[in-house]
Amino acid sequence: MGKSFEKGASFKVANLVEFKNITKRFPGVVALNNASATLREGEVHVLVGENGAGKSTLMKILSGAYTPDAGGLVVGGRAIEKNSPALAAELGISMIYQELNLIPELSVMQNLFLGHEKQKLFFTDNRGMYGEAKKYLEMLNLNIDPKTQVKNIGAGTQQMVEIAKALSKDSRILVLDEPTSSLADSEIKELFRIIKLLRDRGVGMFYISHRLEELYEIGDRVTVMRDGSVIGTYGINEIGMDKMIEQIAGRAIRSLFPHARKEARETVLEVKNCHGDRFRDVSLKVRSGEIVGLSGLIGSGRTELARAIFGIDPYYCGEILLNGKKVPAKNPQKSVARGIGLLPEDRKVQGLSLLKGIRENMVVTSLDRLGRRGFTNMAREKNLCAGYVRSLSIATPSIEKLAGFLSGGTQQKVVIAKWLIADLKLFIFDEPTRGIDVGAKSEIYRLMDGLVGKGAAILMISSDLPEILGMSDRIYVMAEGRIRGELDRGEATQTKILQYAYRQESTGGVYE
Amino acid sequence: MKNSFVVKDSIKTAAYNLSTLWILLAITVFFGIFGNNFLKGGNISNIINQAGFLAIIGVSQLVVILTGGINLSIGSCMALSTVLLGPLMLAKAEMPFALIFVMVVVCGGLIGIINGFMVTLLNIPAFLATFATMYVARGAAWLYIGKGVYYGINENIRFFATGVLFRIGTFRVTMPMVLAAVFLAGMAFFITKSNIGRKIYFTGSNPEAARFSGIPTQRIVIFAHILSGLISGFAGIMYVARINAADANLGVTYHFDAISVALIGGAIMSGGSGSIWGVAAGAVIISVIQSGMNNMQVPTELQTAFLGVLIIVAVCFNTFLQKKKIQNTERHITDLAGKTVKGGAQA
Ligand SMILES: Nc1ncnc2c1ncn2[C@@H]1O[C@H](COP(=O)(O)OP(=O)(O)OP(=O)(O)O)[C@@H](O)[C@H]1O
Ligand SMILES: [Mg+2]
Repeated sequence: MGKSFEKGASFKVANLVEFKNITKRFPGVVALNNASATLREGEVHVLVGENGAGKSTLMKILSGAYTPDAGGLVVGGRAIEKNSPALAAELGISMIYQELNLIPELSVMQNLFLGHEKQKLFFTDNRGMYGEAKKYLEMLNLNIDPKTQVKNIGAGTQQMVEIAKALSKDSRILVLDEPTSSLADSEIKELFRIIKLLRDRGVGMFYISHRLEELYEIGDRVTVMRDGSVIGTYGINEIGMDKMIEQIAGRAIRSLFPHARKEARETVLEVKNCHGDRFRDVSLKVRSGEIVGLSGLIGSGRTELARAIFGIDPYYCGEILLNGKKVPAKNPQKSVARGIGLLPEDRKVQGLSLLKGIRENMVVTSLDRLGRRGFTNMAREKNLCAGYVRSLSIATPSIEKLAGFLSGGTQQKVVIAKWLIADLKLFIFDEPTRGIDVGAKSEIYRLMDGLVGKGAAILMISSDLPEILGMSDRIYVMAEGRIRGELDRGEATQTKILQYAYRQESTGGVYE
Repeated sequence: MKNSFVVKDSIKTAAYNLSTLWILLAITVFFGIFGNNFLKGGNISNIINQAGFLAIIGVSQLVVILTGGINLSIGSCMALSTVLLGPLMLAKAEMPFALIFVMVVVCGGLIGIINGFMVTLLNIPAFLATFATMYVARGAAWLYIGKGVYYGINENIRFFATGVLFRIGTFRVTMPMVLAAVFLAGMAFFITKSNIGRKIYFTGSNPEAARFSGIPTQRIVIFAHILSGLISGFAGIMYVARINAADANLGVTYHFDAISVALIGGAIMSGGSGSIWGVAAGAVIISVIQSGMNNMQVPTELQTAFLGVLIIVAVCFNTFLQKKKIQNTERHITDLAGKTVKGGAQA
């Protein structure tokens, strides 16, 4: 505490951080192989690379969560012999992890000061913390009461609170591991404003992302990693998008969004005037052979609608039909049997059992179909899983590796595979490519295209506008729990989607 | 280079998986050295005989623990299902063995259904639900039988719990040993290879993800409780046949024995991990300890206390090994999902 945050204070060296030939092994993988990188004062240093390339691992070495097997770490000119989370915090290093890290039951303020509460004599100084929390939140243009419980604010806002938390610790080195993967466009803008603000104050930032477009807006330098090695570091203007993709994926990707489908056919899913906890009067159709995009801001009710269709949450009136027959409400297991699958929002809690292996997680949706008379057919299972590990290029030494050991994007691929294995008529994908590298993204898009080509129907929720525009045949836009607009592939543009997404209730135009 | 890691890793994992066996080995060697004729064939067959029974109630506990629950009503369930059918089990009733067997086991299953419904539909934690059943079933057994016992059990039934098939030296191969072995092998196959068994494991390891995968989690939990009840019924018959009487007071502390067996065998209370063979090893360990202490003529009061201490030691040892095994995972999980506060602000 008490470190000065003024520009150019005590601490002035060219390189805030130097990784020197870092090697880190895990059972069966070399997560980092002789990796070197530097972070300068007042720069945003972007790290890119495929899933499992070692980006998060490198950052965890900085934060003291992992100890390298070989190599050195220099922070602020000081060689760090034995890093630890406590030491890293002392050195002014803050991490914003890939997955949200706040404690839902505590208030925003409590989260902000967790572990470094303000004290007045022997008591926690609630008033002081409240004031300071308010100050940070205002700095970020966040209009929330510091006493609000974290579980009551959206994912985007939570991300901002994480950043406020870093601010409250006077961090000089900030690591942002895929901060935008759960943010809406407007929130991303806000985030970038703050990153720039911090940069101007001399804070050095590592920034990991799989959304390559945004890197040009925010990055100063970019380092590409593959298989634990650093392929190269470039000034952001020295490397074009195509070259970057090629470096990441190890091959050129010509068209990211394939579109080889034919006509859409009969209606598979029909939602008629449905009301649920967070959505109202929703009607929509998804036909066989088409991908329907569901766009809108975060918190517009898309996820809740998806959960109701799949049967996790109840809906109150209206009906949901699959191939003309009513889908039993609140019964995911019947939904799966009827051919509906949901790729959930939160892969770590809802998508995977982290203490089970890849194979166990992949086949769990299809045990009855894959087995023989109620018993496991191990050979078939292993073949199938190995096939998906190959076709989705899942980074793992074995199909039995525990899901908890996998990198974030790799976990997402496993969840996708588990629904590909289940023989579905309707796929509901909630942010399918969140945290997935470009190579695999193009692979997943190709798979999706192939699925609808074979007659499946896909309802895809995505906050990534290029993805929605590139993949969808039709797009519904939701706002405040209602469907505000429907656009055909031909007429859809970014602007039109955003217009619908931001349209206020008073302006009318409720979609029928 | 890659391979050497995999090999090292799998050796480690194997060592951890065998952790229960290390404990067993240590204890056996201890009693072998300090005991008196401890490793004689006759004694060993007594130990295994008793272990077979413990393993059966251990499995009854395990199937519920795997779902993240617990079953405190095992002993009561054994008592009630045998007492209710006590009159039919007597030699003078002259009922066919198979019929009685099925009826007792089904009776145990019915008690399991009640537990299962309370846990799922009424959303009562398994600890409380089965705690209540423990008293209700015991009370019902008392009410039903009054003060007496049903004495003089059908010879066919008795054979299953006491019959000696053949001898190897002083080692007797008995019917209950064979029964337990067949039962364990069957259960091990069922629980790891059947779809239902695998769903039980998955549900226990992450109920939320299981629901999102279309597993009928409630039904799975009910099934586990029914299975537990059925096995308790089976254990009840074995017990009654051995003491030659159906008695409302039987097995008052068996739910505890069952928990010890399962825990020593490496099951984890939060669910999703534990194995039948672990339970079998756990049962042998307890049986060796009991027999060893008798052999060394430790007074019963002291025995009980000592057994408790040994259980704690074994469980700690196991927990330690288990922790080592999943340490990395845990670290990874807390690092990423960060729901733990441990690391404080810098977590
Ligand atoms: N605790 C661990 N135990 C075993 N293996 C691990 C562990 N942590 C990471 N790995 C492995 O190390 C490799 C690098 O993982 P890392 O999380 O750094 O990837 P990443 O570049 O961040 O990928 P993503 O873009 O998917 O987040 C992966 O193969 C991963 O499976
Ligand atoms: Mg990562």
